Amino acid sequence: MALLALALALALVTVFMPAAAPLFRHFWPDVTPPVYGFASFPSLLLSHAEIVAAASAAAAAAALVLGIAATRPWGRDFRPILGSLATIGQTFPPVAVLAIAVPALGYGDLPTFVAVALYGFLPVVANVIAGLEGVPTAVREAALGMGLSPRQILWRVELPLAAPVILAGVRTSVVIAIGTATIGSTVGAVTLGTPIIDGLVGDKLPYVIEGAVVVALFAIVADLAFERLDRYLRRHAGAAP
Amino acid sequence: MIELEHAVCSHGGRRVVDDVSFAVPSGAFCALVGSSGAGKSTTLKLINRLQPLTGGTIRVGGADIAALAPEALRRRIGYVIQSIGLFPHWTVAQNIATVPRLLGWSDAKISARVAELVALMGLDPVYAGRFPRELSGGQQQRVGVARALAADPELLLMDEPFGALDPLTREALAKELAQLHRRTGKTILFVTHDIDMALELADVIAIMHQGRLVQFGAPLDILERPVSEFVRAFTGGAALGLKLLGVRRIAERVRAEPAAAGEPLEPSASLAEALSQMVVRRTDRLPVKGADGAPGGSVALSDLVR
Repeated sequence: MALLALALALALVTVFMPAAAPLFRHFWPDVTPPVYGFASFPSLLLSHAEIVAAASAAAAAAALVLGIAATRPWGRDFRPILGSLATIGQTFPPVAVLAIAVPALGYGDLPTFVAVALYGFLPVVANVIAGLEGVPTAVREAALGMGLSPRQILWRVELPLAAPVILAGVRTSVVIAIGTATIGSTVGAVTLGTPIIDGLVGDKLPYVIEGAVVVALFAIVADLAFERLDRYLRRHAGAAP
Repeated sequence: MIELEHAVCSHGGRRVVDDVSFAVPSGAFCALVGSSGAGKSTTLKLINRLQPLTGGTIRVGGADIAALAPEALRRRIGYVIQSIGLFPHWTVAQNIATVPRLLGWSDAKISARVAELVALMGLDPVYAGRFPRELSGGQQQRVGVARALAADPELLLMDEPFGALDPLTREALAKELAQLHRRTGKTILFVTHDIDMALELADVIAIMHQGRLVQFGAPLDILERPVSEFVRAFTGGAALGLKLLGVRRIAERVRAEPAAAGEPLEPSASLAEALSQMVVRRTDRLPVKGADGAPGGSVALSDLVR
């Protein structure tokens, strides 16, 4: 029920942010208007969610394909390289990625998408590999011995058994992406980072608070939604809780 | 049913299976015994192509296995392993239905077969809907055997199937397996390092040592005529006499004279059991049941050593 309550809180805060104007005016009487007004919070949230969804989906899809490839007999040599690539993606600061991406891709959503996707790749790929390698040898041997083809073993045995671990990676990746996407506003992407950046640049603290509160709520709601999905998966997969 | 001709399996220049030839007739229970690293599990895995054959030929049911698709071959052969390897995300019924589903059986046929196997393996029908982790080790291996039998394969390969179970469960499952073999007439190839279990269950025993087949024959034959010091030490050692008593039946030694009082023994019981009963009852003579209500006979201590 925590999920439902927080999702409701997120919706209410986003829609009725202007109603909080008296509160912000009380503490920061110099800031006008007291609530960020260049774009509405619902539209900022929507745009933010779109970038996060696209970047996370791309990162997860790439991680799944490459992680599966790296755990096949023909792809084992490729595994260490994939590990290093993912680590580089993770250690490279997103701001630096933006700085490099902007000259190539221009301002706006696209460099933000690249930075967020790169940053979200590692948690998923690490968990895809860990999940697939965590399938007990006995189970794999039995599956082979029963006459399942390698493809059937992947789809019917390995992926279902690895699903909770993979999902945990996606969950981490999405929560990171929600936070990381805010810096996209430095290069012109429209996200919940826009009021934060404007507030920092224009020395208007209420805008920073407004943006940060919505981003934080969004991240918590997404995290809880994944927890719910995880519980559902485990119950229906029969895996040990 | 199974013929190996000069089978070889090499790994990195080492011959894990070195020129092994033997044939197991249809319906036989063959035990493949030897110490660890003797190559017995690898030999088993050559037959369902989980290990590649690097030389020689293997035929199953007359067909060269190299000419068959590995998946098609494996679906015809039941396979049971020590670590059981049930699919943890599937119920017992789904686990048992693995091969029938691969073979595209109808749902009605699959559920009838699952129910039949659950009963055959002595499992309570409520377990059909449970997940493997809810079962004890012995129950899990019963499901493992049921899964191997599901598509009614002609041949069952068992790799130390009871090795991880406690002694009581192991003994119970071994007895059930012997019954199952008698009832279904399946050809069984059973890998074990436990010579006593091999002597108890098998019609023929293949003894392997360092990748080679050292002796192949009936249990009594192997005990009485070991081909080498290794086989003698491996099969009997100091307890050879007791093991010989274990593979001989009372029926072979029964005499017509009616016996002393006491509960009569089954003629199909082993001489080891007769000796054990003599010690327990403090007597040198025991009554033996007659066949089909015929008057019984007896067996004396001196009969055991004839």
